[in-house]
Amino acid sequence: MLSVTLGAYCAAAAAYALLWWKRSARIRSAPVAIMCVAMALNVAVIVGKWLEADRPPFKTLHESLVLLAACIALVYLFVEAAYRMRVLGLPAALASAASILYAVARMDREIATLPAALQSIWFIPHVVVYFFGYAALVVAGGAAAIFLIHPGPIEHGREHLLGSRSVDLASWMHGAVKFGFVLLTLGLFIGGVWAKEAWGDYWTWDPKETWALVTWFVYAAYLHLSHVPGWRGRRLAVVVLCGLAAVLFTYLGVNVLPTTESSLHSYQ
Amino acid sequence: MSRTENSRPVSLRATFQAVAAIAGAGFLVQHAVERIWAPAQASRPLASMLAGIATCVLLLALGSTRRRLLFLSSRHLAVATLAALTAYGIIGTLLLQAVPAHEYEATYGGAARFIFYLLLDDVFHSMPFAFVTGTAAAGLVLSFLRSRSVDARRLGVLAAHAGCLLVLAGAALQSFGGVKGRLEMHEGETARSFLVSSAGGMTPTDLGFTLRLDDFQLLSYEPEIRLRVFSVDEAGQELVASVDPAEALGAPGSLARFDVRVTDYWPDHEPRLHVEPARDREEGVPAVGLGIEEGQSAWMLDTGRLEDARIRVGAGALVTFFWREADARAYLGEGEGPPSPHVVVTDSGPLRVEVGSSHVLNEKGERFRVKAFYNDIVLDVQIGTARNRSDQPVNPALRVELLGPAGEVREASWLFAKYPSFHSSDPESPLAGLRYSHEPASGDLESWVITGERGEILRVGGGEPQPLPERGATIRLGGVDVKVLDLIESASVTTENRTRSDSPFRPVVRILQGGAGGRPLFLQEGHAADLGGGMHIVLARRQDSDQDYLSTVSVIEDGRTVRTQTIEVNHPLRHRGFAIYQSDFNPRDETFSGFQVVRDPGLPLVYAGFVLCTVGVLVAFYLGPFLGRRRREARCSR
Repeated sequence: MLSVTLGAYCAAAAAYALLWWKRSARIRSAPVAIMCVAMALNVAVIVGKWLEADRPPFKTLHESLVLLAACIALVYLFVEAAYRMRVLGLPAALASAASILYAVARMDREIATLPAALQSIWFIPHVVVYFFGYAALVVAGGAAAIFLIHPGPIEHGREHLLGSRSVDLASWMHGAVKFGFVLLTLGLFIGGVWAKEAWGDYWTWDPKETWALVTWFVYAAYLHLSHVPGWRGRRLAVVVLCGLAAVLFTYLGVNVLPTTESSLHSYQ
Repeated sequence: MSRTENSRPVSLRATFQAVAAIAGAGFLVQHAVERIWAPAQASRPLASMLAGIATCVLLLALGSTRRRLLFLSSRHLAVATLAALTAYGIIGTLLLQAVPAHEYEATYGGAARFIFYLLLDDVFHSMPFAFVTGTAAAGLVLSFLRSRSVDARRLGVLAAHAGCLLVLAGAALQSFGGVKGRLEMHEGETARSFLVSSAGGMTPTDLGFTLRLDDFQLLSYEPEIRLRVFSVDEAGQELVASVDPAEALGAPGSLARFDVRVTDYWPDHEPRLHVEPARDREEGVPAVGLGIEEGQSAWMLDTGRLEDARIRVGAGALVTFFWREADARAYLGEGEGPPSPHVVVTDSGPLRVEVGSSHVLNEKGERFRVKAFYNDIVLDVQIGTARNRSDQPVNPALRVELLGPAGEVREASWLFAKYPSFHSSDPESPLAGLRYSHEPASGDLESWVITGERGEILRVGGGEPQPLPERGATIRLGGVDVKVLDLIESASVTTENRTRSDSPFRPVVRILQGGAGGRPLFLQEGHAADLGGGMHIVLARRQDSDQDYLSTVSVIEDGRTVRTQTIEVNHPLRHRGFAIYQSDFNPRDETFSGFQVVRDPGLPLVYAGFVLCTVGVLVAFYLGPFLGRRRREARCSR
């Protein structure tokens, strides 16, 4: 099922790439249909894992990668449904495919049980809010990357990609960052409340916590910079990509830190 | 609010330099203070919190002029302080934090001196960090004074800022008015105080009530039997497949790619041997049958494998059978005193060996030497080092060397008592056929050897041989009477495998590798088999992390029990301003429970800050702009 999901995301990425290349309005509904199928398969995988493990499947790196792929697809599909904009379809489908591909490489050989600290009402909201936040910031990162390659409004014969005559990617990127930042803020605070309930401390400078705060600082700096004269376009896109790097390090890179041995919640 | 400053702003570069100067001031102040007074580790958080508050107050005082107010509340300063805090956050996770000095020296060598000098050994409680945080807090406060007109979006921004300030204020209040300590109890014990770590050591602190631990329960997940396949190479081992052997009976699942099929699984294995004199003497194996208790019998077979040749009787006494006296002597070992606990099974049978001794390995005359022994080995394959994790024989291993004709070492290998098929040598190596059995000599544990050829019973560790009783007669072994049922020089043996119950008490699995005509393998729990290509299959009992820890406690005031509650992780007890969290247990003492006791007067402020900050960003990003649009539309329509 996971391999089929991976294939569906790859097919969606190929279809979105074709949409860029062909400039044909006739095939514009095919990519979104494939993306919907891939997302449905992805959700089915999560539901299957939930039933099999008899717990929310957000415990291991493999499970969280499967969740991340679904969150990216859902956030993107919401953007496409709301604004008819397909520019971000290719990076979103590629990001979901990459997440599933890594999940396949880090397949769980055994179903992990939940330790006592994770048996909390805060487990699901904390993880889900964070992963939707990550997904929004991945989409923002995709917009930033496209913006750096293709600065300025995208127009001239690409209405099938845009849903309108012209789209300012920088403004889309800003919107996605704001949405992601709200969720990061909420996730950070839910994590604090949960940590207090479980261990008696809402903050311990644990490497994962610290990197979550570092990520929040980077996007907070972006939001302040976006109001500073002279900070527009390419410079802000670079800050968004720095933020995306911080997100990825918080999620995947923290395990390599020498201080992680004492961490209470790194994905293994 | 407009996006440009009202007066010419300080450039971003100059703002970064100003923040760097503030951090530098923190650096100098900490060094100056520590020259006069070296605070203990426990005092550092408080000292840094004081420094942060002092910085904030000082900058607020400086913000009395419009120009300074605009600088201190500027977005430039916000960006610079966020960048500095980001840098500190990254450094604080890259370097070890607040560990003993010798750990820095062991990890960073000579660079440890610079880490201490630059105050990077406890970044988050250092004065540079506190000064920058204080600056950020001052900027948040002054942002309220900056705005002359406030719309809904700006209100959201200010609410988010206020939320951040409340979180910082809550943390400060916790530092000054809060208490955090430990409480350790055994079932039935009561406590009125807990221990708080301070500069002077552990200080007892009064709870204001009595707490009694009525009961402690450690809940574990049900153990699970798994058939696991590991890929083993020089880089270490990796779990590549794992199946439930019962489920794998019907469908091989992930074992299929190793060409392995589970043909039988007995969760509570009980083999029943049918032994009778062989028609063809050449094809049979020596066997002795013993009646252990009423109606219970066991056969021991001299097949060359120790597990076939031995049984346990009575209070764990080990009885091993050899037909040939020479094999028995090799197993018993030579010399006086207690026997060596190391038995290595070679092509020619089991040998009792000692560290440093060398022995004939095979019929070709090759020899091996026992180089070292580890009680509880932990092997780092990458750097080729081994160490003992404990002095208990949890994972016994021998290091053996293959010797050349001149006594030179040709190769070496590890033998593991619990994983007889695991070895680090080439499968084609003569050492690959060796198996290791760890049999510690203990005064309480008897070990006996029966020899069929001479009809004798010998006790391992010394003593005169006794004649093996006639068939039907009894002998006392391990505190019980054992009856000799039969002794056959050449017996034909057929085995009927069955399971006593569905509970996995003594799991055994039979697998077939290589299709219908392939190699059948029996695996007991903890035993491994080499599948070739660096793959090993193991039947293992999976015991995951503990499910929960439950402490049932009673709160006693004035001699009366006023409440009883079960404390578990995520469910603390709150009483009279204290929160008591389940934090520790001892797997070797199930009556022990450890708690963290916390009084945190700043918590309401912190939680209010969380809510205010979240609501603030929502208003600033969504509600404020929405209301602004509506107002503009209404204005246009008018």
